[in-house]
Amino acid sequence: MEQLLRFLMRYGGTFLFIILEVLSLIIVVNQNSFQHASFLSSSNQAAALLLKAEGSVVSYFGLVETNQQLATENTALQNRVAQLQGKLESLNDSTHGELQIAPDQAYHYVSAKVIGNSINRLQNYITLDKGNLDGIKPEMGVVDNRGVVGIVTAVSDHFAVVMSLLNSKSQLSCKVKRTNDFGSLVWNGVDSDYANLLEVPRHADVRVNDTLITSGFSAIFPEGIPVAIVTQSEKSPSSSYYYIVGKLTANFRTLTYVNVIQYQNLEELQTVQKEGEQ
Amino acid sequence: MSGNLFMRHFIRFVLLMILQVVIFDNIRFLGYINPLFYIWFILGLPTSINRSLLLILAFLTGVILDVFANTLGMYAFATVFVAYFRSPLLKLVEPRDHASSAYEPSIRTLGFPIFLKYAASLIVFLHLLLFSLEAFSFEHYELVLIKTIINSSLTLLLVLSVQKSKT
Repeated sequence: MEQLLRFLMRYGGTFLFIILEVLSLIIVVNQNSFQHASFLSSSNQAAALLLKAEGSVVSYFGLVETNQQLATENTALQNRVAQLQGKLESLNDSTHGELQIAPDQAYHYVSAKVIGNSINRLQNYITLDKGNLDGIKPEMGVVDNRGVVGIVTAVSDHFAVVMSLLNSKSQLSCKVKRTNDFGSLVWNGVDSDYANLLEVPRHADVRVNDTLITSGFSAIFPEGIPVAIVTQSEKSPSSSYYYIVGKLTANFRTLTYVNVIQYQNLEELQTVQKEGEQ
Repeated sequence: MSGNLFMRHFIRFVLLMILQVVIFDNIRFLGYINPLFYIWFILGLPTSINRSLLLILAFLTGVILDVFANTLGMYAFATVFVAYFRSPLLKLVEPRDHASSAYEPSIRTLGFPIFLKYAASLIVFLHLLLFSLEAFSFEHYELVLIKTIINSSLTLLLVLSVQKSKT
């Protein structure tokens, strides 16, 4: 006993050092399971409140651009309303109210404010001020008014953490709008404006200025949300795939308001997919 | 630790944490500017501090930063590492007459060249560790090296400038 004590007195520092380092490494390696423990991420109350205070100051710097965005979005929506009203009237005229059109309500949008956002790491995350109580759950898609932003990974009652597209672990199934060629979009870790589209075979036809949209395979995102614009598209002689670089349509530097997408039939789809795999 | 000393380091700790979380972890310029200025807290603690206490403080510092930055364990690992190798390194670089008495490592107590050696090596170590852990593969080694060089220099510059303005 005495010897043990003497040993600990002498090497206690090293002992503790090893214990603490192993502990941190365990947390790093098991990141994915810990991410769902919201107290260890920035969706915990204390962290989120501070981030919120910071966000309320920082958001002033982006006011001009945010206003412009809102204005353009407003006009776009007004145009759409006008267009739909026109259609509705013509339908009413032709069918005398006999035809019933079921509204497509598969997806529902929840607006949220960005209170924490980084772009300077390899694994970037975004914190939102909406959480469980607002119906947000992990695996939901997040978009801003220009395009895809990321996917929710952790949720507490009032806050949520989103894995940004600017995350080396993020993979998004995309397709080329013009030709319907599929690929998966991965960030290269360097520039917050650009990402690479992988796994597009050589026989496909992808050109500069093509739009990349979500494929709609996963039910996280509905089909057709813009993701990126192709800026570089090359066939390298050594690879059987295209080398494609796209400029992301969402602007991660000035992210302020985003929409979280709730898919109403998510559970149903998941059970069907599970049954199908068996 | 006497009350005065404790308060000074406690205030420094709080200020550095706020600065790190609000500003240095959030710089959205160029995409890879992320100086780790908070390490000045660990660098500046008095040499008389109990070794285990130092390690636990480092771990806590790391965990708090991890929570805010969503980096889970990375800050903790790197900070504890630096804290552990602080005193062996100090023994290596400090002048002979310092060996017996306790002091707080700074330009004033160690002199510029020795403090520079001490701070620079630990700071480069810290950045290299943290950025490598973040990449978690050798795929991004170029990016890790560039980030280490740029951000270590920034952190060192910050640490030296707060020292200079104090003396």
